Amino acid sequence: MSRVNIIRKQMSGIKKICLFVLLMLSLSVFFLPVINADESSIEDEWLNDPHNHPDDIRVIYIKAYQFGFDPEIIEVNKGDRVIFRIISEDVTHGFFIDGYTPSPVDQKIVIEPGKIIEIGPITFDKPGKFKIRCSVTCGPLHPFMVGDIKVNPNFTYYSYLVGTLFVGMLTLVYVRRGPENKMLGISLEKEIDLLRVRGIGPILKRILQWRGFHFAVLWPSLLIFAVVIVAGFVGNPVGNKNFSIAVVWILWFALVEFMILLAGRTWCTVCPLPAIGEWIARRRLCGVHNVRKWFALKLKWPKRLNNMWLGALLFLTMSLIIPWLVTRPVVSGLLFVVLIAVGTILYITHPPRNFCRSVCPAGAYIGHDSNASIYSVRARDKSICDKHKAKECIRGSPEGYGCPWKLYPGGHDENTYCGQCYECLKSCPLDNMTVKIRMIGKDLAHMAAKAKNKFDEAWMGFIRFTLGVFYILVFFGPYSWIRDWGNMGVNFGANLASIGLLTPGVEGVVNWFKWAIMVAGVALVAYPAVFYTFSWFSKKVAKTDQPTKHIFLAFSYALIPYIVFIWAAFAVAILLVFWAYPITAFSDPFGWGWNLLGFKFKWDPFIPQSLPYVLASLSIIGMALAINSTYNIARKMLGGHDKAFRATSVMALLHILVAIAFVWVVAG
Amino acid sequence: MIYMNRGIFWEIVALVLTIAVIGTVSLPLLDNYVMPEKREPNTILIRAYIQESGGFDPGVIRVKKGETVKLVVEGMDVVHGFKSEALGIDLGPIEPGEKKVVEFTPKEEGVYMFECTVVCSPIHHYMRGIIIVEGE
Repeated sequence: MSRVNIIRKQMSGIKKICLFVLLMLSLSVFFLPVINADESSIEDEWLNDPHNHPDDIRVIYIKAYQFGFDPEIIEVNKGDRVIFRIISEDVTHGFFIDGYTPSPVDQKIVIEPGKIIEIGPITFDKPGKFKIRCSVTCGPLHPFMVGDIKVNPNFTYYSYLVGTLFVGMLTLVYVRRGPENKMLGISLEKEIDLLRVRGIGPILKRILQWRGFHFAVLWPSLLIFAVVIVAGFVGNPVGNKNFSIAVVWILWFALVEFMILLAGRTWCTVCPLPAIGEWIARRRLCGVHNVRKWFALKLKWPKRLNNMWLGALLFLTMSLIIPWLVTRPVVSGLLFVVLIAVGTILYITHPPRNFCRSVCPAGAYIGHDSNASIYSVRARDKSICDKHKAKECIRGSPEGYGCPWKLYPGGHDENTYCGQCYECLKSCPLDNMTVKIRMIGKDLAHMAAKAKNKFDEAWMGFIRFTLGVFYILVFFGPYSWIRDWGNMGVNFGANLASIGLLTPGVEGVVNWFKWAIMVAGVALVAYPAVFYTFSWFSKKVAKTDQPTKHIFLAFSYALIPYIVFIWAAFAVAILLVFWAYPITAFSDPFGWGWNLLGFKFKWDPFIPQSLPYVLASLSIIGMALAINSTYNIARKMLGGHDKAFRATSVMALLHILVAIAFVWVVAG
Repeated sequence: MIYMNRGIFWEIVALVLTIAVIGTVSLPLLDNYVMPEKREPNTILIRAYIQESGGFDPGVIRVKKGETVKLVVEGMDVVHGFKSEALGIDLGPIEPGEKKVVEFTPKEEGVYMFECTVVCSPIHHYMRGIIIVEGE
């Protein structure tokens, strides 16, 4: 009996120990933060500045974290001498102020966790807004880890505000004089026939009419594209060291924006996405083969989809995941595989280029924006085309295919769906097709006059325009919470092997939905609503009996030059700050430390302190073009200078307000 | 109406070029030729990723007792460290893209641990690897 008792006692002893251990374990959960005790003591030490600095020095406390700085916006006065006392909350960060700290290549400021770094004293002698940037790769969103420092009084901002108003008013005064068919003083009727320019004209013509041209320019981009996919899957999970991110989202993205302005849809000439499908359908890589019988299913493209809606909405969808897309190699890699698969399959089921016309998100925005281009493929003399019955440009000839973009090249007068494949230059027996250089915005007025129900193109414009302004605030602005929402709070880069790291938490998904609603709401609802309101007012002021819907849709075309310049501003910002990444990526495509071409560059922004000036100036040019385009459109739609000017003055107010908002984002 | 192709030669050239693009998938295999550290004898290249992406690559290193070995540690994503107390190695912080080199001659057989010394991610403390010193 006593033995049983003893066992019982022992049992209860073991139980007690077990309970005690369990209790301690569960209690330890509460003490877990204390394990990082040295971190909180660092925080105390950080704030308990010994204050052994001279009296005239101001100490500013900064905490760096993934991916931002706390405080987000720092204000100092001109002439202040400042010491920055910085700690890191999580991983190792860097510190760089545009125009104030030395180049990160010469002297890199590193903020290690657990250490207090003091920088300065820096004398803030130049007024304006400057960016604080992280200079040490700290995670996927490192390139966008920025904060603002304003040196007051911010004369740059004030002068640009006045400048915006002044240029806006000046443009209005200019259109008050009733310039017909002109854009900011340059006639829209004047066109240069590029293929008849002495010297380069004949050479260019021979190149464009050469059957191998398309393949010759397409093959290099196909090769780069293949490397992009391979690098996206197996390369370094950090975006800025990976070819797929650096080449596509820095180099390609920026080049396309300039290309739209200077060379229209030239990207679509060299785009490899539908190429494989096209080659299969044609059974030829260069030559012309069987122009009537595509090696394909030849299904009819649904009429409902024969517009820009699908492309525009896919572009918006891509934009909603843009914080992932432009920082995670595997996300980009997967997207391109999907796009190339869809492009190929659709070319075989629905030839010819229905994918490019209606599905491709890049095709949608490049096509829409290229209407503000100075570049166009047009007929020399439309009357010749009308009289010529054979219509090789539609039916094809031994020299070239009929237009794969389903256009009548002899008659078309907008860039939207012209993919610049130059087949019409080859097939035309009368040598009547050419490349014309003209002033920005030539086609907008007659496009707008035809835009009775083209909601797709209007909304493509609203999406592009809002996102252009908004993304400069998101990616180059100080508000890290917006980036975090879009990023779903995931702090890891990923290639195919580590794709599991991209699993977001519940909070991250909830935040992403907030972000998605915010972005889509502004682009699809808020800005169009504002635009509609202004259109309604301009209808009232102009005293016209045109329906508001028509005015609204027509005036949306005036946004196109504005969009091109806003996105060009974004592209300039990306190139000046990140130029080193794409160049290095050619030498080290997988981010493994290779040096194939014998050069490598470290991150070193090129005169980043000039960005507010460059960006604000570009937006002001865009605004002036938009106001003048509105006038040209109104003149064609409403008839008569007086009504057109009244309508323009109302819309000009909106364009000026948006330009002011943009100047605030970049300089204020 | 079927047009006879002209220049079948160029079609074949273009086809060969197109098929050659598939060769880019073998580009990662160049790693062994491009990185000098992978070619040199008695040299071991260790790539340091955050633990979530795999940590030290390779994480297990075999060396021979008495043979001098050159370790090259390359920072891949964020700032890392490399330290082995038992072997008396500490390379300090290694920035992304940076390579730090250390030479050592193991004197005794055994298993030695090395670890990252810079807080690099939430599970930084698990970022470790081992060096196995084998006898003759």
